[in-house]
Amino acid sequence: MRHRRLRVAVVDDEETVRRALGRFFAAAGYDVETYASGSEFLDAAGENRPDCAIIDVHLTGLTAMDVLDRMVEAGIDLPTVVVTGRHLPGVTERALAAGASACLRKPLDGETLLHAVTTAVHRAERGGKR
Amino acid sequence: MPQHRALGPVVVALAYLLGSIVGLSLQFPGTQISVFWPPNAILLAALLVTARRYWWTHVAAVLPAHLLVQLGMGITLPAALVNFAGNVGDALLGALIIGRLLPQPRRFDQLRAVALIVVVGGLLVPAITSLLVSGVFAWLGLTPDLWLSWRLRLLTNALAVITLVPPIVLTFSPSAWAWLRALRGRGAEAAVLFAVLAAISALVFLVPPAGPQTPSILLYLPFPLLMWAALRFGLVGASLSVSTLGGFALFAAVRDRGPFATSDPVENATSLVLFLLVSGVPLLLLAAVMNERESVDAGRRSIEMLHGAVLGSLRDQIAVLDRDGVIVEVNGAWRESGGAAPGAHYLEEWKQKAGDLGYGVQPMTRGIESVLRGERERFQIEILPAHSPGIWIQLSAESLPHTEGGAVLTVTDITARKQAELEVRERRSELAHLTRVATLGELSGALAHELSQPLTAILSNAQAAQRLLARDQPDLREIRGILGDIADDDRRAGEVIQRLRAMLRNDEPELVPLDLNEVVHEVLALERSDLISHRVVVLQELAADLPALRGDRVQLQQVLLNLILNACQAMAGRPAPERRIVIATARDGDFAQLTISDRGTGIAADALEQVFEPFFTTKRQGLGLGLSICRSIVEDHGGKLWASNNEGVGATFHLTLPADDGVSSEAARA
Repeated sequence: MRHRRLRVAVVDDEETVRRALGRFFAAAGYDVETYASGSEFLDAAGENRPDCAIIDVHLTGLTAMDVLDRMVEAGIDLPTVVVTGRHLPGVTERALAAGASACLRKPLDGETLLHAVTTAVHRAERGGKR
Repeated sequence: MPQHRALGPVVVALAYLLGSIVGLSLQFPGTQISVFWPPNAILLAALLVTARRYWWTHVAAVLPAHLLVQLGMGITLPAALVNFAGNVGDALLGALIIGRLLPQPRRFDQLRAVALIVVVGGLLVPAITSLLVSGVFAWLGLTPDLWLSWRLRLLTNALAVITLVPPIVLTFSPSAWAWLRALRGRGAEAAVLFAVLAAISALVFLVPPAGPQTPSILLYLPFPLLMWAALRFGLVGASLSVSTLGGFALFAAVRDRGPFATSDPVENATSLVLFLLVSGVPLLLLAAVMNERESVDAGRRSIEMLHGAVLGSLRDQIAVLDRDGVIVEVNGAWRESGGAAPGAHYLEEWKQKAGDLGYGVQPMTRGIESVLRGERERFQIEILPAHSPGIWIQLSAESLPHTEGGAVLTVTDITARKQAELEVRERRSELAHLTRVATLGELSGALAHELSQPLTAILSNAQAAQRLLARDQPDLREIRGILGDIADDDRRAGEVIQRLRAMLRNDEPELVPLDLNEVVHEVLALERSDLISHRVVVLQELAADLPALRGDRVQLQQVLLNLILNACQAMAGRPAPERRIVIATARDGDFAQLTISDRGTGIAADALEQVFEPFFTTKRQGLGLGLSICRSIVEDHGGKLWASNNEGVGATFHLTLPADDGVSSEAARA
């Protein structure tokens, strides 16, 4: 397991953020795919499931919460890390309740993000059916 | 009608009696022809100064007097009654016609009144009544020659009317007392005049002629004196001098002396009376004309006094200029302020003074010159003169509406008003700032997001670069790309901070050329995150031909920000797909128009205006100042802001702002 390259999906409607996170994960040795919207991601994840998804809360169209709900509906079970630029009360709780492994605040520190991703993936592997 | 209780019927009756006795005493020797018959004139004068409803008292009072004299003379009762009817007819008819033709208030010292007394009272009415009286006498067989009787009655009456009626009615009119006052200090002149007149009259009428015939040239001797009396002492002087002359003439005539004592008494009487009429009538008219001119002069003097008093009482500095800009008149405030004196050329002096002080005078001199040339009615300018710091003055020039042209200049100290205006502007600007800060407070979450996005990208990019650089063969192309992105994101974050700072700062409003569409873009950039998190879609229908505006960027941003936030809040209860705002701009002549339509709850019909009142709010939070501040900002920009409900759902806010004189949107952007 340790030698397999993990594949992460970054979902953010802002291109600069998407590109930066993509570069960061690539530099950290991950395979990365980026999506500009929740529905784009859901379409792709149905066929080719990544190891972890990083989803921005404030997406135009479907929000991160909507995406999490759709994933449950569609039976897409994968670890997710939700990130938010606005510190609205209750966001973390709602994200965790909806099935997210972690909720991080922007601006994101790379090491924290990597730690959250690996934690999520490990937890999923330990408790998961895969 | 004036009522003179003092002139009671008893006085009139006594005067009538006296007049009759005088008339009877002035009969040519050996005849029953009176050359001067005052009773009718006395009654006419009494009626003229008495209210019509009291006339009967005078008529009733003079009947006993009349009968007393006439029956005492041995005249039969029927003849006496005919005479009475004639006398009363004279007076009543004359008073009636003169009263009808004389405008109220009656002024007996005016030309019109004197002319009416002479023509109507002295000639027309006596001509008619004399005809009737003489006709009756002829019918009764009491007079041998109807026409002779008519002529004599007419002439003697006329002489009495022109010599007696004007002085009597004047005595009972207000101007009589003015005349007496005017006589004060001229008593000596009057005494000399009448003494000389009496002497000359005596010379003419009483001194026996040297030769067989009195040279008629002597008759002209009194005329200069009569003129003197009329010119210097007015109507009363004229009447008195004619009476004096007449008195001597009659006195002489009845004693068969003087130039009118020839063989035929009837002809004597006729020529004497004609002589007196011809000299008296023009004199009276001349005096009336003089009076009229004097009262016009007095009116002008009183207008000038009033004008001077009004000018002097004004605290503004006032100068009257003629059409060439030369000062004609100034008021006290102008003099005290050290303004140029009458006779000076105002514009030249001003140019000189302004040149010395070193500031531009073009707009002011041009404005005043255009008023002087009659090109416009009024010019007004507010000046902060360099030589008196902190003092605002307003200079206005108003054209004089008469043929010679010219203008009235008014200099007003408007410092107090200016200071008040300034204070209001400052307060309003402070309030606008406070509400702006409060609005931004509402947006703080969205603004944090707006900043955290570029910061996230920067941090991730930087950390990616660090990892890439740690490799043996770093991908320099990728790193170059990363650095480019970092720079862009940093710039973007910087812009957000700049906008925030502009809105949070409490700067003086600054008018700059603006494009309204650009203001829309800037506000949407600030509000982007908030709109996303409220799941509101904004459709922009922005016109390309929008005129450029002049305005304060931050304040107009505040207005749009407020309107968009209100629209979002109005739609909070709607399902997400229905939350839509349409922002449209359009050109409307010389105005730029902007509408913001939402699909929210709309506004109660009776609250469409109320929403712009201070402290009106439907929200649980918020002061309710937002829209009232928005409206005052828009009005400060010369525009309008109002609300209406949409036909379907929601409300629309309309904003119009005047274009910046003729500069196109493109130029403003350049």
